[in-house]
Amino acid sequence: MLDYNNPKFVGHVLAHPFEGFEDLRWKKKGSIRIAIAVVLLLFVAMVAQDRIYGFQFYVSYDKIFNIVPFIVQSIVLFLTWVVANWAMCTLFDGEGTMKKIFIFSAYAIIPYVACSLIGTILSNYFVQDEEVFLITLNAVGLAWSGLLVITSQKAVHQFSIKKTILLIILTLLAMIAILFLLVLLLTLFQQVVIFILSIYTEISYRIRV
Amino acid sequence: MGTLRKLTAGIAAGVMALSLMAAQVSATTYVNYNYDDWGDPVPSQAGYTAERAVSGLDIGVGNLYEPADLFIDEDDLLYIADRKNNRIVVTDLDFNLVTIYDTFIYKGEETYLKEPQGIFIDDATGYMYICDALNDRVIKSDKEGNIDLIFTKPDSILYGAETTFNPFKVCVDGSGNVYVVVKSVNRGAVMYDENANFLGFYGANTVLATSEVIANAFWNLISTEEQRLRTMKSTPVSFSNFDIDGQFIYTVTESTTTTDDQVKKLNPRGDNVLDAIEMQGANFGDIAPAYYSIYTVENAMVDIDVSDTGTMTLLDVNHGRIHQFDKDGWRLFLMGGVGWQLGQFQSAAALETKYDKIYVADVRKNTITVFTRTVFGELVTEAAGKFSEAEYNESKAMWEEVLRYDGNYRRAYTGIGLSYLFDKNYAPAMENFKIALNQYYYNQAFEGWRNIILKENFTLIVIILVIAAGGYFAYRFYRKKHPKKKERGA
Repeated sequence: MLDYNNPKFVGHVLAHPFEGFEDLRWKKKGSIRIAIAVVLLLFVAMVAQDRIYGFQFYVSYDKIFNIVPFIVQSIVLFLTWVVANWAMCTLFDGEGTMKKIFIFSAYAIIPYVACSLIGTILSNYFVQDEEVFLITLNAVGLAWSGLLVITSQKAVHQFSIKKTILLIILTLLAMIAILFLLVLLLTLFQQVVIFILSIYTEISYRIRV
Repeated sequence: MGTLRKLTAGIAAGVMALSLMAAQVSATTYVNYNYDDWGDPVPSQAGYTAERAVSGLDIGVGNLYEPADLFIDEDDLLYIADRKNNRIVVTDLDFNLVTIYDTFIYKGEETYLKEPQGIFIDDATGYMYICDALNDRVIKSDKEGNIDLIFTKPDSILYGAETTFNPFKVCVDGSGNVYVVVKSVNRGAVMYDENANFLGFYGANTVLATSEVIANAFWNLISTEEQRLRTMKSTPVSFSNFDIDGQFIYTVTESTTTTDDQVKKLNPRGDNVLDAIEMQGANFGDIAPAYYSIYTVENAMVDIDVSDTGTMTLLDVNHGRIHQFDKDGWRLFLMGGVGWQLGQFQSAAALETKYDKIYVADVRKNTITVFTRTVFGELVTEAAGKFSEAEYNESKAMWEEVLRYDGNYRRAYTGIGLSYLFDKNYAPAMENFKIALNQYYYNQAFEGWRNIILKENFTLIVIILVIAAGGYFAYRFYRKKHPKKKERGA
């Protein structure tokens, strides 16, 4: 049973939300390559949603296109989730390693990524009256991924459902803390750079005189 | 040598011609711009240019002193309420003096104006209505200066005995009802019937439910009577001016604290019909100050004029700017600015439009500035008129001409798109609506385009679907007979 290769296991996990991740953990069939591909696809889906979503549903601001917010919203956010989850699970005796958390979480968001990509493509073929299909598709993807996130956490850390939900909430709080510290760090480094630059400028003026 | 000289002369002539042309093109003292679909200002062509500024000396009546209101009647006579000179100056549209009203006869006695603030001519009856501000009355007089009726402070509990009566602007509707804007009343215009009987108030503004207002309502619930007396009261801001066009009364509100009732188009019941075309609460003035209020002053609309075709022209005193909209709320042109040069204002007080001209009175420059429509303005106005009458095919060529003048003129794209849409030429319609950022019409064009594609390729689509389904089932059948080696062992 379950003698699938890595890509096939993805399908198994998605189709069996409750047992799939347990099987994945047991068979050790998670692939870091697929996980990275999923995160990159998340980024692609977000950019696509802003760029090529059907004009009848969404007007994108075409004057400026800045890629950085999309990177932050997809890749950086996902990595923060992984780090925060790993940091929190150590306090709760979770079994997951960083790599495992990365793989399991990436597998869990596949429905969301897929639905959002499919929705983006379909939005170019629907009129406004048919928007309900897109909304439904998006909702299904979101709900499915939400369920998978809970079960994947449960499987990767071998937690009870109560503990899993607590961990998820704490992970979200930890993410906020991490992002806050990142912003703080960035600003402080900026200050340091400015300080060094101004000293350099000052000295270079003195030397010239 | 001769050729060189010729060449130099030629270049010099060319440069001179160019600079002359440039002077003709940018003959305004302010920057011409319009707003794009994101609300950002973009350069645009001038729809109107300031032609001349007329002072009282040009008319030959001595200096005007704070001309507070203008009115043009159907005989093309311009009435100027020359406030501090206590008179009404009447000229024709070329500013040749016709007459001056300063003395009126009432019941055999002479009476004089004291700071007239507003003037209105009822074209149906030929009577003129003057807000005689410091005499606390509105007079209704014929063209010979014989006063027919005097409207004074209403003797009614509804009005309130303590409220003062200082009439500011006046207008009259088709059935003879008289509306007076009184500065000390914030419940709308004071409304009289034709015999000067007080009827009530008309078209009051509403209090915008800001966080401050809601918080005050909450504190009022729990505070004592004494505390309540000391808190700030939330009252609607009274509107500052109006104009009448057939059955509709247009009001403007000068207040800078609310944008909700900035411009209203009221039907006889007092309902704002701009609501129906989703223009209620829209920003009729400069858009940018709404976001950068720290750096700039807010809009303050002091006058509105509505033409026979429904074009609304608004006057913003804070920016000295004139905004013109057509009757569907599409922005046509912006012009003016703050300054002393021609076409700029210090404290613009009133405006009137007639034919292709806009007349603006400034109470600090003491002049009447005349704006004339440019070729571009004429083109846009004509195209907009056709557009409003849903004659999209006729207006298409005009809009294309407009785009030759100004590629930023966003409404042209909607106009061209609509003409394509009504020709069932969907692909170019979609393209134009996309540029115009008009989702509503884009959706319609897209639906038509999709239907055509589906209809034309129906057989092809069915064949592809049948082949795909057949291929899938055939593949599954084959796999059942010959399973993969890897999975057999499981």
